[in-house]
Amino acid sequence: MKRHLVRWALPAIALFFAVLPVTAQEKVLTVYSSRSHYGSEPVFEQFTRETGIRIEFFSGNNNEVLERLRAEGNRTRADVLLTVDAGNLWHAAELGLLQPVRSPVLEANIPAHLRDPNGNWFAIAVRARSIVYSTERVRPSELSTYAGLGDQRWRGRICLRSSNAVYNQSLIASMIAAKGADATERMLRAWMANKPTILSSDTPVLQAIAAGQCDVGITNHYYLARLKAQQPVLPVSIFWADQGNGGTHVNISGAGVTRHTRNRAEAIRLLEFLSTPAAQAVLANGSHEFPANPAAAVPPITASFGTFEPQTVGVVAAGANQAEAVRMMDRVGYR
Amino acid sequence: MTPAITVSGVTRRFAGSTQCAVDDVSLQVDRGELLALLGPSGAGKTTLLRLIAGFEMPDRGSISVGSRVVASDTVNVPVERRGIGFVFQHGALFPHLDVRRNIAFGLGHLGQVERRARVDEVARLAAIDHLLDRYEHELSGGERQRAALARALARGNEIVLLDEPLSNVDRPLRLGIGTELRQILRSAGVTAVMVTHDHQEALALADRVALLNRGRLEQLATPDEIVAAPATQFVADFLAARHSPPRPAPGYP
Amino acid sequence: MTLRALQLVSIVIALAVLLPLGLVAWSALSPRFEIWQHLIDTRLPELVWNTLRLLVGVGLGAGVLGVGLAWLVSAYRFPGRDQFAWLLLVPLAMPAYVAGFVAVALFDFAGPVQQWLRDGLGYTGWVPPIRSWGGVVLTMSLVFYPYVYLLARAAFSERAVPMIEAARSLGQSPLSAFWRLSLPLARPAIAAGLALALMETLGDFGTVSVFGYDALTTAIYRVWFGMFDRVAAGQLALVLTVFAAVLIWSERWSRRRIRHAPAGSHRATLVPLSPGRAWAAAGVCSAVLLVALVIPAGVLVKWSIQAINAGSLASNYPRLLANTATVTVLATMLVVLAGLVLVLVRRLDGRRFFRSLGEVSLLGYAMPGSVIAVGALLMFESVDNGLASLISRLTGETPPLLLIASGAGLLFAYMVRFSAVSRQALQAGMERIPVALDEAARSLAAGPGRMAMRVHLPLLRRSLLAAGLLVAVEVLKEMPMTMLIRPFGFETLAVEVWLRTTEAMWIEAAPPSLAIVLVGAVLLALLHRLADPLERVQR
Repeated sequence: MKRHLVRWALPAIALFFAVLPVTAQEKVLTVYSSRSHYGSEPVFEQFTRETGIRIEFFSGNNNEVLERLRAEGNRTRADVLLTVDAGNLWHAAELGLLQPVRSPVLEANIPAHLRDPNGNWFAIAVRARSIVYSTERVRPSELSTYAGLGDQRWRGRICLRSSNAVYNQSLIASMIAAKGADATERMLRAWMANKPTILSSDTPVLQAIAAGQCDVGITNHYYLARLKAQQPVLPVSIFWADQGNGGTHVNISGAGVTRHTRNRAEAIRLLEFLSTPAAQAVLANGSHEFPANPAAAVPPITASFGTFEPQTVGVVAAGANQAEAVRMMDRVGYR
Repeated sequence: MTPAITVSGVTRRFAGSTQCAVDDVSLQVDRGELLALLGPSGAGKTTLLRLIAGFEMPDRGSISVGSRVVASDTVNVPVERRGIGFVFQHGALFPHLDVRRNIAFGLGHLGQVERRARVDEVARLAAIDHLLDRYEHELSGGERQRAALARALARGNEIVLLDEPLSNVDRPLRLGIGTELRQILRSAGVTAVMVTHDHQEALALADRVALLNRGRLEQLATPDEIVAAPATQFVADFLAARHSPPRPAPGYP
Repeated sequence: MTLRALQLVSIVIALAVLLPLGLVAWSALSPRFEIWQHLIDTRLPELVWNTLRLLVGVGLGAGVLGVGLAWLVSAYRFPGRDQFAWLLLVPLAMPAYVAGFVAVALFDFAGPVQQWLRDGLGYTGWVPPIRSWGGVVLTMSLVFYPYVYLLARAAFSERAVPMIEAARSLGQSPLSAFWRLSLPLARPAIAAGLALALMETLGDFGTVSVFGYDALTTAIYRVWFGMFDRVAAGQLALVLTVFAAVLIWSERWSRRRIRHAPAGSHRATLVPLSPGRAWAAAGVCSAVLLVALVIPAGVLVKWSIQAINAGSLASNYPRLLANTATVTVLATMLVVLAGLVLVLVRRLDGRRFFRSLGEVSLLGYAMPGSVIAVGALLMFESVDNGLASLISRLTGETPPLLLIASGAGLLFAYMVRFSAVSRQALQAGMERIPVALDEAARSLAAGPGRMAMRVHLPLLRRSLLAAGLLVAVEVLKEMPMTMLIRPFGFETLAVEVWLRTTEAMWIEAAPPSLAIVLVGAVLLALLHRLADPLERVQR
């Protein structure tokens, strides 16, 4: 019996894997994405309806997608790289995985500080990382800057996401660019002196604040929006930090055209489409993010958080300073 | 006529032991005879048997089958090619095959019809033709040994070696089954070498007996000669001594 | 099939395991003193210490649980014993990562248990935190003890229990006989099971990160993706492999004097317990199952219902299941074959070289899946490029990626990672085949090839099935490596779980997680019915 199994296995393998590669005649764009696209699907379907170009996704974490793209070299089938962190995009550009794009549409739609100076990548959505607090135990007047969390009054009352998270790494990296390394390190040490509780993700931080484990924390705004959508009476709010002091840190979800794409024109078309106000609105709506295009509508719950002054430093700084940020966090003992 | 087996100055010592398991033993086995290798435990009988079979290699000396050298300083014919049948102490029947397929195991070179005929023939010879569909665990001790012998004979080898074939058989039945085995061997016309520690068995069944002690050959003669004229004190003592029943191997009931 | 062919294939397999490791090592050759200085100054000592603590904790936890339960089930009769015997295996179907996020969600400050303590009972005192060494160790012990349990159970019932009877007839109390006889005799099996459990622990990244417990694997990821330094990450991975090698070597060392006797030919009767103790035994087994299986599965069911009601079930579920089934079946066949080759070569050619080849496979088990994946990717890069240039020279066209796109890469990676599992299972079965059968076959003019096919293989049927089922469960659960090397567009259940948890969407991750647990449980139930290693080899 075993022999028969073996005998049939080989043709079965061959057959199965021969069928795998898509041999469609229509135009297909391949997007390597680390956006969990269960929230942005509508916008891509819209693109297909308008252009007839089908989109196929290869999904994973930022890092997995990058490593895969890197390993595939010049025979990759990826046309577009779509990630959820500026540092990741910076790194992709550094590794030569993306190619510069000159597009008047993109340059008009996406503000300069939200795209790569060399045109390798462009934001398609913006997320702000700021201070969240318990509405029951904290008054907004007590909050001001990120550094302010180092004040003694917050001892034992802070919940932070782990420094392993790329969002925190980008936050600190941007801060290094904006405020300088010394000031940032002092801020971190002050935070650590307050003995923050370290949690593994943003949603647990919000839930901890709601449950009373801590009173303040730092998260991306859309996690709060998502929770609010499920529980409108959640006693947690967001405070825009560093207003008048450099601006609240923002990160982006962005995309770039891959170096070895065989569908350059279509790839650029996708990016341009994603940058239009209409597409931006749909995209942001699905994920509660801020649109990158200032002309697009902000989704309701997110809009209810109010407007804010974003950081003046370009998001490209997140990538350039990330390694240093990680080392700094190691030095101060931020787990 | 060339002897069936010639053992010449064979010595075998196991690593880590100062004592030789087999110490400069020379003997010849004539065609068609049943030779018993007799001696107390540790005498080297089984080692000598395994040397002849090819499971062990001699450190010195040579072994020939007929006129063909199978083991020496320069030659080592592997077990698979020596053409010697082996009956193991506990039968070593393949538990996943019935008796018929056990016997047929070595007959892969025959066609289906010939194979079946040969199996039937040998089974009849060993008086187990009614047991061909049974499995190992469904056989008694004596039946198992006859099946193992049939399997060893099936290939038509001229030599069959038997390692304590009766130790697994109930005491009172031993001589009876032993006589059956000898009968089968005679009918098959093979040369046989049998290892035993029981002198009654050896004297009753064998044509000649080789007495071994600590790896050395003490005496090689017919049963009558040995009883009448023991060559050494050891032989005399050994023949006179009472044997306690062998203890079963650990782990077995 | 000749011995020569087997030897060649076994060398290829060992090379296959070593190559990704070697490539990682090769790419890690450039000195990174500066990063190492930084690591040593800051977090490395703490991370190494954490890893050691974790290994000790899980070793003790899984060891005590596995051995204790195996002994209960092998020696005594108590209500439900026959069912517990195989049910206690089923927690193996739970991916450690899933058990982790369920545990954290349940017991964290904001979770239902603590909520109830505060709101329901008014208790505001200290509660043991789940995000701690204790939490990780407890969870991992509950998920990994089946490795020890499975192997110890076989050892206890085969040799130890009959000897206990002998000891008791000599006046030893059952407990004393257990300590002085059974335990030492079963040590190689226990060590083998512990080796598997500890290798998994060593290479785990997902589970420890859910608990916020930073270990060596955390450092690897941090340096790799935080500091953008793949070279230094590779060097850290090598450190991890050294740990693993030490573990493997100590397991080997603990087996050095044990000779394996063939299985005894009778089964000892189970000792009945007094009613009080019998119910206590049943209680212990139930408690373990409750905590390790029933509660986590229950939570997954609840969340799955929630997720389905919210409409977040992926629409491509049939495709997901088909993909999962295909890759699991193919990978299992390949991996079992690899283990079989290693085990056969060891039996047919007893030289030390070929025995060590089998142990090389254990290294593959200890490396974090993502490290293997990177090594494999590096390997395929060169091979694929070579093939591609050949093809383009012949046909003038540049072909797409071959090895990864075809899924061969993924199958290869599974083989590197899981050969150890099939090898350990098959080796145990092989050792139960008496050497006399080999000699009998040789005396019947069977060469090594015929011996392997007509004697070993039929007698290994149960072990092959057992190995296959175990490997299938492992492949089902594997996530990080699958993510990296899977063919384009090829999603499996594990991939689905991983994707959903990137944004801590635990509830959405519940349906595929539950599917994995259910399929794994079915496979393990099959293992019990068709291939229970406790059954004697009769046919």
